[in-house]
Amino acid sequence: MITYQIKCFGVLSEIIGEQITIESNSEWSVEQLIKYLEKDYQKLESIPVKVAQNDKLLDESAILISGTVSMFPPFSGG
Amino acid sequence: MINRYDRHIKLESFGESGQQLLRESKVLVIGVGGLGCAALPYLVSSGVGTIGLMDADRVDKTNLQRQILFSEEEIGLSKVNCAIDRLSKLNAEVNLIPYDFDLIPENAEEIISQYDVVLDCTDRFDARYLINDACVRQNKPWVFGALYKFEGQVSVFNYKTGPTYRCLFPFNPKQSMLLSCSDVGVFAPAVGVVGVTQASEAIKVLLNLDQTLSGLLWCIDLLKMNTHTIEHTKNQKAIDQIKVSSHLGVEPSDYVIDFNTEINYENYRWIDLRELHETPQISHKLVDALPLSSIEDKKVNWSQMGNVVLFCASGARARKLAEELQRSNVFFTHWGAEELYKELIKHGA
Repeated sequence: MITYQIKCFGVLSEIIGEQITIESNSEWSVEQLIKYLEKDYQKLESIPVKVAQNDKLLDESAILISGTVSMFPPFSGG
Repeated sequence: MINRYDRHIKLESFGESGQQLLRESKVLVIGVGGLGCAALPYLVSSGVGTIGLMDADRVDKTNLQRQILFSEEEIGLSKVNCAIDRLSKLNAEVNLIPYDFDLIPENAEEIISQYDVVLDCTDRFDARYLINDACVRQNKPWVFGALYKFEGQVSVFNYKTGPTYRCLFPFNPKQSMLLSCSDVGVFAPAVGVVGVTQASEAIKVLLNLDQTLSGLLWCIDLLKMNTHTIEHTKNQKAIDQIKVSSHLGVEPSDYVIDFNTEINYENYRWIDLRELHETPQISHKLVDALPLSSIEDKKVNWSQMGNVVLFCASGARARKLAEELQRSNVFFTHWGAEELYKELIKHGA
C-alpha cells in the first residue's frame, strides 16, 4: 500500500485542506495524483498546480514514491 | 572619514570593489506597491547607483496598511513621485528615475534594456509574463516575488542561463489565474519579508554571487513560520519560444475561451457587453449585463471580478475590450449571445 501525505500551499490549502492522506495500491505519477484529486475537488481543474517531492518540483510524468507530497499554486499578490 | 557603506564593505562578499559594483549598477523596480515599498529602501540605502521606479497608480487609503513609503497626506498623489521624495532623503547619492506609467509590450524591452536587474513587484500575472519575456529577450535577470495572504514566494529568473518564469508556470488560459491582494487580503509583514528578500536577491545578483534563488522557489508562511526551498528546472523549449514569438507577454489570442476544450462554466462570470436594446435578452445566473457604452462611466474594477468571459453578438467588441484590458482574469469568446446561452444550458450551468 502506497501512502501519500499531501501538503497544500496557498489557495490549495483552502480547496483541499492543509494536509490530507491518500492511499493507493500502486505508485502514481504526478498526473494521476492531480486527476484523482480533481474528482473530489473540481476547482483544481482551473489552477496550475505544481507538485514537489523531497524539495524538487516534478514533471507530470514523474512517479511519486510513498511519503510527503507538496502542492503549490502560483501566487499573484504584490 | 567613515564610509557610509562601512558595514557592507566589511563583508567578505562585498569589500570596496563590491560596493563600487553596486554604485555602478542599475535596478528597475516594476510596481511601487507593497513589494516595491519593502524592497526600495534597502536598494537605496545599500547604494545601488541608479534605480528606476515604475507604477502608474496613485496612493489609495487601503495601500497604507502595507505600502510603507506613503503617508496619509499623500492619498491621491503619484506613487512614484511620493516614493522618490521619501527615498531621496534616505540616500541622496542614488539616481532615482520615475516611470509613472505601466509596463506594456511596446515599451518593455526598451526600458528593461537600460537596467542590470529587474524586480517584479507587481500584483498581476500578465505583468509577470511580460517582464519575463522582455527579460529573456534582453538577457536580463529578474527577481520574482508574490504573495497569497500570509504566504510568499520568491525566485530569481533568467540568471546565468537559469530557468525562467514560464519554465516554472507555463501560461494556460484554461486555468484561472488566482486572485490578487485586492480580492483576498494580505498580511502586511509578509509583503515586507518578500519585498526585502527580493532586494537581497537583487543585490546578490549584482555582486555576481552564486548563492541566489536561481532555479529555486523559496516559499514562506508567516502564519505557520514554515519555509521551503524547492528546486525547479529549466524548459529550454519554453525559453526558445519566447525568443521567436511575435508578441511579448500574454498574447491577445491567449484570452480566447475555446469551447472545444472542456471548461467549467461555473468558474467564470459571463459578461454581456451588448447594449440593453439588443436581442435576444439573456437571463442566466452566471450572466451579468454590462453594456460596453456604460463601462467607462462605471469605472469597472476588473481585478476584483474574478475570472470573467466577455461576449457580445459576434465577439468583435468582446475581443477588442479583452485585448485592450490585457488582464489575465479577463477572457473573451467569439460565441454570440444565443449560442452561448445554449452552451450554458447544455452543460447544466
